[in-house]
Amino acid sequence: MKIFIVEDEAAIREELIQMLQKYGYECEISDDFQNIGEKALSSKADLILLDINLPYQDGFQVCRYIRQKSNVPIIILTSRNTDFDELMGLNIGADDFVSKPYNGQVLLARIQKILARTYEVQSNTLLTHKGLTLNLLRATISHNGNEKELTKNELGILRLLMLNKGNIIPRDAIIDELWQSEEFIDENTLNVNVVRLRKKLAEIGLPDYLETKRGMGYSV
Amino acid sequence: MKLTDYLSDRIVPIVCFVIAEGLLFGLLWLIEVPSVFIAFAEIIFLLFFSASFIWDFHRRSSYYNRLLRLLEQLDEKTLLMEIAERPTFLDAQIISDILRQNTKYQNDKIAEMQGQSRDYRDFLDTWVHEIKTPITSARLIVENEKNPTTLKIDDELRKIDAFVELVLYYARSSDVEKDFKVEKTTLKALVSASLKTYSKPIIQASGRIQMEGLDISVCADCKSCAFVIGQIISNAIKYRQDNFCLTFTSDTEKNRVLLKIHDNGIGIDTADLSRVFDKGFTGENGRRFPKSTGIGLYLCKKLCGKMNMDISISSEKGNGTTVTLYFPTESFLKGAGV
Repeated sequence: MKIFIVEDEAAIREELIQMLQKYGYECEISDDFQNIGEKALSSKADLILLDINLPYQDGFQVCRYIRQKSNVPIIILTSRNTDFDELMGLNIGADDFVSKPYNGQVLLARIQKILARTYEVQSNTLLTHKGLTLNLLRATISHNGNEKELTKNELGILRLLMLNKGNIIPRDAIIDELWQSEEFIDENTLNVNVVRLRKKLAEIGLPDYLETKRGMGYSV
Repeated sequence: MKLTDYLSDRIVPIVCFVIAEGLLFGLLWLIEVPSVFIAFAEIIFLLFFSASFIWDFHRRSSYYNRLLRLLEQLDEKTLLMEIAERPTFLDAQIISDILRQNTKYQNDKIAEMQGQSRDYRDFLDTWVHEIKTPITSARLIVENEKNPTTLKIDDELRKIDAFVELVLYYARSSDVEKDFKVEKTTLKALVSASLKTYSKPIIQASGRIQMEGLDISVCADCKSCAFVIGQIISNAIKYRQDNFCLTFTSDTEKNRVLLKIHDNGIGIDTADLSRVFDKGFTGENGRRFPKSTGIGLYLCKKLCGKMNMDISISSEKGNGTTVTLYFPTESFLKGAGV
């Protein structure tokens, strides 16, 4: 799946690319903001992320231009988070509107949803690290042909750890991650979930996969 | 203008006239003019003198009454002299010339100040949107490289973001033109959105969340409501005690839905309670916690007022605080033609 990013702020662009590539998306950009609409179309991208404040023309014009020629999904990303801008964006054919500063997970979820709806394919849903494969859509883990189903919370914990493999993730960050998906759990629930997750990992043959860093957090 | 006021203002000419009449009467009486003629002469003087008085009173009172009526009808009082007619008598002409210059100066100043404050607000709006770009890119950097250090930086970034939101809503609160986008949502969605924003500080304070009966649909402006609830949550975090717990419950009354946010924090002094919505008021708790600004609840009250909502607070010192938000029900909004 290829995503074309229309964003003039280099720092944001770089980070977006890095984040999307982690999830296996291919990214393309262009600095030719005078003809950015054509560039986006000719890239044959499956989805376009579009900023509103651009050099030469604003994102609404770009959006209208692309819409005249193609039905490719467009998500508008902007710091102009007034209701008027949101309405305007949706009226001229954008599929979604995300205002800055956005949560990376939320943005990814929206991209996945729109791609799944438009192309009816479910790709980029596998994370692999140290022999363990995590299927994000089916919420399953597998190792050497053994497979186990995960609950929503277990999936959230493992996804966060696997995306940041090698790094220690503090407990509050894990709880926060689960809160972002409206599971307002506390410390004890996290403990229970980690124990269950460890048990499932052990059952498929990875007993020491999830490491505890005493006083700091967890890592894989 | 009342006749008695006018006459008491003209007391000197009247007294002079009476004295003159008396002297005239004395003089004519001394030279033995028949009293009929004396009375005749006095009456002639009296008639002409009164006539001039009545004429003068009439032109003055009609002018001033018109002016006062105009002032009453006018919305922008400082524009009075721009549309008032020019008086026909000297003293009012002088005063009206002075007033005209005076109000012109005032109106120019007002226009200048309005222009300045509009510029300032526009600048703030732009600034808020500018500052969001680096915040976004910094948070994306953290997103891509999560470790204990970057996650701490992320906590600080969230604080910056909350302060920036405060500026945005403060600038918007004094703006009459800004409309709200009222849509159908649930109490749960509003509370969840605010909880996500303040997730980190609550988790770090080992806070527990309890939600009961929040699946009630309300019509509200989601962003502003989430901001208001966020301010209340932020206060609850700031003034918490051990075993921090936040409870969200709902209630329905005729024409309105209530969202009650209860914390088990330090509470508010009864003496301070009536003033917590005042701008800049921090009270006893403000002295204990120097970070209090006295802006949060003031903004909440103001935003609620603009959204046809209400907010109230009750508290028991040492036992926590309950803030209640009152949402108008859909049927009530329809009935009111909103």
